[in-house]
Formats: sequence, structure tokens, C-alpha cells
Amino acid sequence: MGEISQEILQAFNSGSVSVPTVTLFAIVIGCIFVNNVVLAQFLGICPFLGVSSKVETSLGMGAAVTFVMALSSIVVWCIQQYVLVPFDIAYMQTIVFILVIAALVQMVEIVLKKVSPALYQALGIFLPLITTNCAVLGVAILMIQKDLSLLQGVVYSVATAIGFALALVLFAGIRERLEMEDVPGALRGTPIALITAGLLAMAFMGFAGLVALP
Amino acid sequence: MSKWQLIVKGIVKENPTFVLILGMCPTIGVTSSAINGMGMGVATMAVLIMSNIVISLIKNFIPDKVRIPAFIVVIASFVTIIEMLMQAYVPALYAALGVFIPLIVVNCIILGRAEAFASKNSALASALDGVGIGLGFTVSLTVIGAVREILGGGSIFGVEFAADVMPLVFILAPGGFIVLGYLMVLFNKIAKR
Amino acid sequence: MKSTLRNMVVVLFTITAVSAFLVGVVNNVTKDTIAKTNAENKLKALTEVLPAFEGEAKYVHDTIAIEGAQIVATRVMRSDDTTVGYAVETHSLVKTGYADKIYLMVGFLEDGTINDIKVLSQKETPGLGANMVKPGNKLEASFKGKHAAELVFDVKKDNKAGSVDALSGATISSRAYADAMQTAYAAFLWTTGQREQFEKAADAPQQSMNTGATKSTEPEARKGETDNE
Repeated sequence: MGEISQEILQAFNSGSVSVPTVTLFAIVIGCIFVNNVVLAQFLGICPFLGVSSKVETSLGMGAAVTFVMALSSIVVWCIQQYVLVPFDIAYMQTIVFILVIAALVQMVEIVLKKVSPALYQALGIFLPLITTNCAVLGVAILMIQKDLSLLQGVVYSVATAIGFALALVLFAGIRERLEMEDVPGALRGTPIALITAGLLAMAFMGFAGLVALP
Repeated sequence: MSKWQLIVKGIVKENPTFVLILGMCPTIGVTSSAINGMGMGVATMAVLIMSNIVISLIKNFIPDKVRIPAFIVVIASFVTIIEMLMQAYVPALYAALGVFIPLIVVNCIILGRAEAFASKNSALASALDGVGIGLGFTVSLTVIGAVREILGGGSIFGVEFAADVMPLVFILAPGGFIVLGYLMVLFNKIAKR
Repeated sequence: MKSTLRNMVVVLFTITAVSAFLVGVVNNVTKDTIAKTNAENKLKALTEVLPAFEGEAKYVHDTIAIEGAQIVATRVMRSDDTTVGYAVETHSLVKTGYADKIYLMVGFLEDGTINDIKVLSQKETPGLGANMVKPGNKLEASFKGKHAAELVFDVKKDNKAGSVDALSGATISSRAYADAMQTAYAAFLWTTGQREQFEKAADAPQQSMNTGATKSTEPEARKGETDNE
């Protein structure tokens, strides 16, 4: 009684906590399933509703977002670490981050046009819209808030993007089926999509507690 | 279009949430209670009005090719300013809205209005457009928040009346999607009349 | 304006510079208010968890030196230097909450009785773990008013002899809360010089710090639980 666990006692004695930081594996599982960026964190819903009517476009969008998020996480982490914090201008975070993302998306557009014009055409208007995808900016900000290392941050961003792609593709599959069903008039289109998303979110809640979140 | 019509259209005919289907992320993310929904709506409206005014004032000085980045800088600055003001003067709401405050910058409503309206109209018209759309957004968020709070938490604006007996799911993620879906149907049915 | 390279660069640069300047101005105006509000809230929380008393309070802060943690034990005294109690600002050290650490302010009387607990910050699920902020909830009741030396800081689900009643559907949050409470008690003992437990732990043969086991066995323990968490 009144006993204190060994870990806590040692933490006081040694001056540091010996709990291992969240493993990369836990970050991956956590971001894709448990804390899915769309279905649990409500980020990236505009493209989620807008792009997900076909599985192919969803895959293309998912891939593009993954690429942008991976790159932006590296750039954003470095800027936070080497520019914003040392110069005490952390409040410029929102402005700087969104400019970085906008620039990266522009770059991706240019590269994609040269490398794979077919994919560029297929994605169409949705490519520049990645800039306003709240998941991309949201993940950048959250990554900094959670104080992740560069490696953890990149893993976190890529895993989140994969979770986004997963939600998108799953949803597209369901919607393609829904098209052929007899949905009552008023519900057709976005409302039934939202209700479906809600059910999908409920399903994903089953993953809760699987791993400790970063 | 009369000044009054500019404002009203944002609430009904061009309601950003139920008709234009813009700004979805905060719509589901912060409407777990009516007061949060209202707070987010007001904050977004403030940014929308200010950015609409500024953009319509400087629209002739911006080369066409850089207009999107220019708009983004203006919007992001106002978002940062609002964020700081909220942190200083309404810290409880600031903590409740969390990461969705800086995310106002990527709320497609604001960039959308800048592109569709403010870059083509006078400052006064743009300001009124901001008021209208902002009010529409605020009303939508407050209504969604109220429905979710009543159905899921048994309270309204923090005042509890049936807590612990209501299905929790409405405050959680799935509830957000489902409530929005049904309210959209309801709104469009009423608006079409 | 035409989209020449020169025009584009100049305009973008000007807009960014003006924006940065304005944002900087607002930052200067608000940062003092923000800092002041935070400091005021902290001081308020310190005295809220201890019994009320007359007159000005005196504080002696003892920041526990643990890397990456912010544990502060504050001795709160009346103006005549008699001790009212110890307010410990703590957070979950070993077990995090569902979404993030749980931050508490715990008030101890000199004899180790837990006077009161205030949740400073938590990001748990509304309606489940977040109920820890509701006054009189059973998680808080497992600790408030009890002598810390008589408590077993385990959730009853994990340990039959445990003193902690977990919140329904919020086992992870409850465990983290208990962890923060245990850490607070450790800080109380540490700051009041009652270091027997610490010295014993330091002398004990190096135990393999398999704290990772706590996390990796949790998924197995989770099977069969119908918690939302």
C-alpha cells in the first residue's frame, strides 16, 4: 500500500523516464486504423467526399497525397527546428507551413505533368486541391505539437496518408456500389455518402485500443 | 443585388454547408457541442470578412499567376491573428477547438469566396458576402452542434438535462457524419419549398 | 498587373512582408495577456486543490528534474509561514491517456492525505474518459480524501487489490489518471524528503526495464474487453 511502481521511482532517481518512445510500428497501425485521419480525426473530408466516387481516382489521389505529405513532413520539420524555433517566430507556423505545402503541390504538378501526363490528366482539378486538403496541413501541425523526431514525423505523415488513401478507396468501393442502388431521392448524392461514411467510421472505431497512440 | 440579398443568400440559397458543401472538416470536427460550433463559425466568419475585404482591395495589384499564393498568405495571416486573439481572450474556446483553428486557412470556403467573389467585386460587396456566407456557416455549425449535443450528450449549450441517458455515438465520429447527412436532406427539403 | 517574373516576386514578397509585420504586431500585443492568463490559472489551480485559508499565499516551487517531464511540487504556505499543503502539478509518466498525457494538479495535506484533484488538461474521448473532469466522478472519488499511503495505485480491473475504480468504457484513461496520481504522490514524498522508497529502488539490483512489456502486452489484455477504449 502506498507503494510506488519501480518505473516511477527510477524516473525520479535517474532524472529520466525509461519508457521507450512509441514504436514506429505503433505509429503505423495507429495512424492507419485506430486514429484514421478521415474517419476519426475529421481531416481531409472535402476531398474524401469529392474524389471518392471512383476507385481509380481515389488510388491516384491517395498516392499523390502520400507523396506530398512525406515531402512536406521533412521540410516542415526542418523549418520548425532550424528556423521558427531558434528565431522565436513560432507564431508564423501557419503561414509558413501552408506556403511550403502550396509550393510542394505546385512542384508535384509540374513533375507529374512531365513524368506521367496520363495521371496528371486523370487527377485534374484535384491535384492543386491537395493544397487545401486539411489533412496535409493538419498533420504537419500535429506532428510538431506531438514533438516527434524527424523519423517518427515522416513515418507518422506517411502512415496518415496511407490511412487517408485506405479510407478513400474503401469509400469509393462502397459508393460505386451505391450508384446502382435505389436510393430515395432526397438522400441521393452527398447525404447518403455522409451516412455511409458515418457507418464506416463506426466500423473503424472497432480498432480503438489496439495500440497506444503517438 | 441589394445589400440585404447579399447577406441572406449566404444563409439559405448558397449555404456553404448544406448547399455548396464546402468547409466540411471543421463542420464534422468541432460540432460535438453547440457552443463549439458557434465559436468556430464566428472565428471563420471573422477571417472570411477580413480576407474578403483585403483581397478585394488589392485585387488589381496581384499578377494573375500568383493570385492563389497571394490569397493564401492574406488568409493565413488573418487566421494567425484570430488564433492569437482567441488564445488571449477566449482560452477555453481556443483549447476546445484545437487544431481546427489554424485549419481555418484551408477551409475551402474562404479561398473559394476569395476566388469567386472578392477578386471580382468591391470591398463593400465582398464584406457583405463574407457576412452572409459567414452567418450561413455559423448557423449551420451551431444547428449541427446543437443536434449532436442534445442527442448525444443530453445537454444544450452546456446546460445538461438528460446527460448519461443519450446515445453517445452522436458526439463521436460516426454521429458527426450521420447527423450532417440527415440535416442536409432536411435543409434541402425545406429550402426547396 | 501583368504576370512578369519581376511583378510576381515583388508582389508576393510585399504581401508576405506586410502580413508578417502585422502578425508580429498582434503577437506582441497578445503574448503578454496569454502569458499572464496562463500564470494566473496555474496559481489559481495551486490554491484550489488545498483547503482555503486567509491572507496572502506563499509558494516554494520544487521542479523535479526528470527529463521530458514537467512535475512541479509547490509548498503552499500562509503568510505566517505555516504550511497549508503541497500542490503537485503532475502528468501521466509511464502510461499515456488515450490521446495524450493527462495533466493534473493534486493537493496533498502534510500527512499525505489527498485533499483535492483538478484536471488541468486531458484530450480523452468526450462522454467516456473525459468524464474525469465531472465533479464527484468515481475515478476522482477513488483518490480524493484518501490517505495516499493506504492506496494501491492500480485499476481494479488490473489488480484485485487495486483502489482505483475505472470510469466505464475508459480503462486506458483511468490507468493514465492513476499513473499521474502515483507520480504526484512520488513527487510529494520526494519533495518532503521521505525518500525511503526511492533509496530502496536505487539499491535494488538492476531490474530489466521491461516497461515496453506494458505496452506490448496491452493488446492481448484488450481481447474480450468491450470498452470503447
